[in-house]
Amino acid sequence: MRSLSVNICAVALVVLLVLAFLLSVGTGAVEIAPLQTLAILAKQVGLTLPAGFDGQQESVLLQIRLPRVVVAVLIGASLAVSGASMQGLFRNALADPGLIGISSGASLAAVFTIVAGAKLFSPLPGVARLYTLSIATFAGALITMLVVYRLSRISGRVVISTMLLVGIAVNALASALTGFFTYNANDAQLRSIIFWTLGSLGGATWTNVLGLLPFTLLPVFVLPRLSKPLNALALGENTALHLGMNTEQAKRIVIVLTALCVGASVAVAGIIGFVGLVIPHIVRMLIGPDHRHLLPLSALAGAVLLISADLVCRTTFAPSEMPIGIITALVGAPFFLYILIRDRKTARLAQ
Amino acid sequence: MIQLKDISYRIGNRVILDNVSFTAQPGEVLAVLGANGAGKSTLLKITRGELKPAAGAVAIGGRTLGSWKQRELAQCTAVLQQQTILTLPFPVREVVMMGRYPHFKNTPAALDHTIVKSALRKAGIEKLADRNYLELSGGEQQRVHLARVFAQVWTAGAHKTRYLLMDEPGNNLDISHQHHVLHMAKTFAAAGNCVIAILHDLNLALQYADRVLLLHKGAALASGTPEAVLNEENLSRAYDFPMTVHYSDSFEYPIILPAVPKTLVTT
Repeated sequence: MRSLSVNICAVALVVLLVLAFLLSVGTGAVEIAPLQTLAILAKQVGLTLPAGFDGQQESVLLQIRLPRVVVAVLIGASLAVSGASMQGLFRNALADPGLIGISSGASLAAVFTIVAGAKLFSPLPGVARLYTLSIATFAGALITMLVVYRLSRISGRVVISTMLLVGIAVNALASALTGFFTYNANDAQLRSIIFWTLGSLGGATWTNVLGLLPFTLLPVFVLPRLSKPLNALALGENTALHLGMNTEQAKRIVIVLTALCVGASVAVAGIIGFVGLVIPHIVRMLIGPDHRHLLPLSALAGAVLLISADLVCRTTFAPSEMPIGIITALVGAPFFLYILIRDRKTARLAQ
Repeated sequence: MIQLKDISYRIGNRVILDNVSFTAQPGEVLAVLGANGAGKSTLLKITRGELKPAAGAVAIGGRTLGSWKQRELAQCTAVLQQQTILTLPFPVREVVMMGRYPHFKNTPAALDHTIVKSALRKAGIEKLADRNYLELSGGEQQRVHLARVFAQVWTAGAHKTRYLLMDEPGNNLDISHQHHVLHMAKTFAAAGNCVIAILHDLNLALQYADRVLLLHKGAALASGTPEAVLNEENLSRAYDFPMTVHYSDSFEYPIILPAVPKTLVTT
């Protein structure tokens, strides 16, 4: 099954990540060559590289492009790792924060906070406002996750069809309530609501990066430490227990960290669906299902995907930008169908 | 030593186990026998702490279950289930390595790799080591799990006695492999370890068990040596079916046969 060695795959992803980074920060109204990018970055730490650049390039890179790419890396990596961990936890490849309504729950909390809490939080400084929003979206994500988890567990096992149906219900409820708030919103609020429901990295600033850092780095570095329990869970909860794994603790950590990073991502960039579904799947096809390799490589691949998707969004109809949620859904939804069809085939073969 | 004292278990008002006690000594294979629904699997789950009994106490190695840390207990106690469902395409070697999970933190040590190799060989599946688990037959899959549980309790470590609980270890296996599994269990027990196995095949129990616990409707009908417990009277009652124990000079062990009454055959 291990058609590609894990190491080759890891090296390839790191190379891709560097290429995507250089391409993305260099592309746009102001072009910046890869060498110039390196020179500008080197200048920040006091080094001089033999590549000339002007002040406009420097400020575009440092103030606009760089925070945007960093946000893409943080969100892409953490969503992919959370998706992979959730699939391990639920023992099903279709578990994705977007599909089962967690992103909608977070986005609903965001919209509610924007419309209802506009006056309440406006005196706060930028980072604190962002943290408030992050906490609200985190609460929205966590509550939704717990509801979905409780409802889809029937006598100790998560029934995947129930879970997806609960996801449909949560998505419908969230979109109705979001619609209600949209209807009552003023123009400025309306724009930010559209931004939240379709997703965009357009507003990325260094403040956003600060707001995201703790909530996205935690899942990226902590979840891979749960590889053993996640692998053992593939043999069922009882066997995981026989192997001495603390599955209850692993479950709690996956649920809380997923809610954290989905909440924080939604607060900064709105709903970006399907990353957590598509990336772990591709990585699993390449290197197999062992979570020890799957989780870190998914983080890398998620970062590459989101940088590239964002690049497509802002260059296709330049100077106007397409919401990134559209791109990830355009790629992700057919992929979801493909998994369903493939699983149908194997199910038929098994009979 | 595994001790169960006055174990009772109920689901609602239905009594599943009623005041069952037994002791499994190091060095012996204890076979748990009984008809469907006699409470065998429940008893095994209570022994490992998966289910909490309504009354009674379980002790492994002289310590109550509650006083063991999960990981510590897993280092010396392995469970082979009747059926283990795995739907992810893990390579066989990796599934067997899961048996070593209680022993290493994040990365397997050289010893773990060696043990996995030996366990694969012992279960006769070293050729399958790099195959995808999902592509194996049911019998091959069962042997992968056999290798996994043996890998789990391969070395004595901090606890001298190791414990192996098996729920129908011959499930899905052909006759020669059934004997192979029980031979492995017997050798493992003979090294000073404790084996408790639920068996369906009474003749296997006669040949491999050192002691037998015969359950009937949640209660212990009889326990003792196989020869003493597995007589026609006990068996007919336990299985609610007429049974014959056939003694023959050409075999080392008596042969147990269901003596099908003619009325049942003709209808």
